[in-house]
Amino acid sequence: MRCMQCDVDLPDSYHVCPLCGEAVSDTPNQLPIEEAPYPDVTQSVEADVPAAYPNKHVLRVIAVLCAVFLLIGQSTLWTLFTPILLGLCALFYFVCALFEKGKLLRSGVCLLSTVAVALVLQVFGLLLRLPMLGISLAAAGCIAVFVLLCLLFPARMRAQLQATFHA
Amino acid sequence: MGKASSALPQDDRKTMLASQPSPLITSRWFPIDNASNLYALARRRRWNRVFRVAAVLDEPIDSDLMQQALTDAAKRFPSLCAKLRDGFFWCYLERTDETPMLKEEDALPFRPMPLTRTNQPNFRVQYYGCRISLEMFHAIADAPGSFQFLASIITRYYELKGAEVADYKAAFNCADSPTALETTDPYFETAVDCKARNPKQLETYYLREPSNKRYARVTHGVMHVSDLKAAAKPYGVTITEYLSAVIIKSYLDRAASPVTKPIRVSIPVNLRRRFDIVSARNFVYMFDIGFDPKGRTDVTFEEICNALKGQLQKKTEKENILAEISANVSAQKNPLSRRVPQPLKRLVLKNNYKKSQLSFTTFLSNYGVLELPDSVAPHVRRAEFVLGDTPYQPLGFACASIGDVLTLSVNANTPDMTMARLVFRFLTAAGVPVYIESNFHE
Ligand SMILES: [Zn+2]
Repeated sequence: MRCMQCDVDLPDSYHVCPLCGEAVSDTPNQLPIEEAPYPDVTQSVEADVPAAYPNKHVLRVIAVLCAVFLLIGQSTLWTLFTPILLGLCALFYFVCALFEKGKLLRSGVCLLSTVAVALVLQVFGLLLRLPMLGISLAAAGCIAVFVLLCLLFPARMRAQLQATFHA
Repeated sequence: MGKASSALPQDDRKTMLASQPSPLITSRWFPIDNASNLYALARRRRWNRVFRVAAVLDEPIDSDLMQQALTDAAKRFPSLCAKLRDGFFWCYLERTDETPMLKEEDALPFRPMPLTRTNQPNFRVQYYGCRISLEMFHAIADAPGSFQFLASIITRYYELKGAEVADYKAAFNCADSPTALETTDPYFETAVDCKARNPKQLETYYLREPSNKRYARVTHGVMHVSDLKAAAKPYGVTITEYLSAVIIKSYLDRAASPVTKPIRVSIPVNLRRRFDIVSARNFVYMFDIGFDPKGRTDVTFEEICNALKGQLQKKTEKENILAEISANVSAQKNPLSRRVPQPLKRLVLKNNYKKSQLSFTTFLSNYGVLELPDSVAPHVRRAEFVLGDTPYQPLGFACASIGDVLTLSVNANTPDMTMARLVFRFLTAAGVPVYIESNFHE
């Protein structure tokens, strides 16, 4: 096959010249070259790249905030509040991820790791005899942020959550 | 790199590194090379600098055997089996333990590649029918390094099929162990002490093409090297200069209004032979050659050829190359720049990358001849080299040849085929028969 407009050889399977879009002519090729076809796709499949996951950064921010509140807090009350609040926060994550079946394991890991962070902070606080109010405030703040994010962007939060624990 | 060893003269040091086993066999992390900092730091979430090298064999590929060949070859190239990691000050590379997987091609070329959140190396090996392709993230290796890897995979494939290989040529023998020279940063090995420079943006004719990020339209023009040489001979230019002139002429023919700025074609130069270094990493430097039409519309092709003649040769004299790469290495070694956290470096380098991209009109990368072992070469019909698009350059030209068959590939993420059409029509009019193949056709 040849395109007479462009004066080029084309594979036998082509009906239209890819350069100019004109119909091809059934003339023998000048060069003895065999076709090496590409897969027949015209739309790129969605990339293997997971979406961005600011949640990882959000978790870092939580940790920093907790540390700050831990240092400046005043009260020694509500010792048990921190893990419970942080746990609730993680639970919200968990419920968020439940929308998507098959992601349970990742969500479980998320839940456990967040509770673990809370416990570590708790132990840290007890060892240093630092007041717990700061942590509780931080936790409450985090929950507020997460609830807000999840309510504002349910689909995006879900996608980011999956991406966070993308294998 | 101890102080005692870096005090050695460069040639002695190279000989020493060439005889030592690569430290990457045992170490998990290793620094990214000087040129790759740009690719690593300028990357975006949905775009990274990727190019593609491929070969068309004379029979459909046996995927099991090819997977075995890939597994064997990957062990020979420890610096390639790595993924990018973001460090606090710099990006670095981490060796991956997972065997690279061969996959059947089922999508358009150059789809974004997972770089950091993956256990697979930052390259992709695919097959479809008779074509075996390797898409490589530029921070891992350059085109000559990737062609070495591809040649090694193909050679290993035929070895597994029973072929005997005496001289490996561009391919590496998978039975050898990697040397320290192959996996070290070649820019650091060759650079001399000098001052760092700030990159400046050159005045260039730049055509902003409409682009679509989800779209890679690859067009191959297959031709004979002998025909191309015959066409270039009357003008006394090399094939690279001739093709650059064809591209510049096509830009001039395409322009709706007179072109007042120089049209620059950026050409990467392989530095391996110049500095006598066998490297499996990056070792190229971008030079540009150009022509300034000064607003004239009656520019002849001969005029362009005369202007381009010798430009590249002059720019790529050893002293010039050394000055360029030394300046870049000095910038990386600068104590101040070393202490800047990576996210801040990213801001600066992204801007530098933009400047460098807007300093030329288009790319032309000529790999040259892929030399395969004598027992393997008859099985490979053609070698292909395709450049991925960049956020500022949706169009790129690249060519590679094997024997007398040269493939000039145009990649565009735009449906507008004007440039490819003008270039290939010019070649056929100049008496070079061209065979066209595309991944988009009816
Ligand atoms: Zn045509």
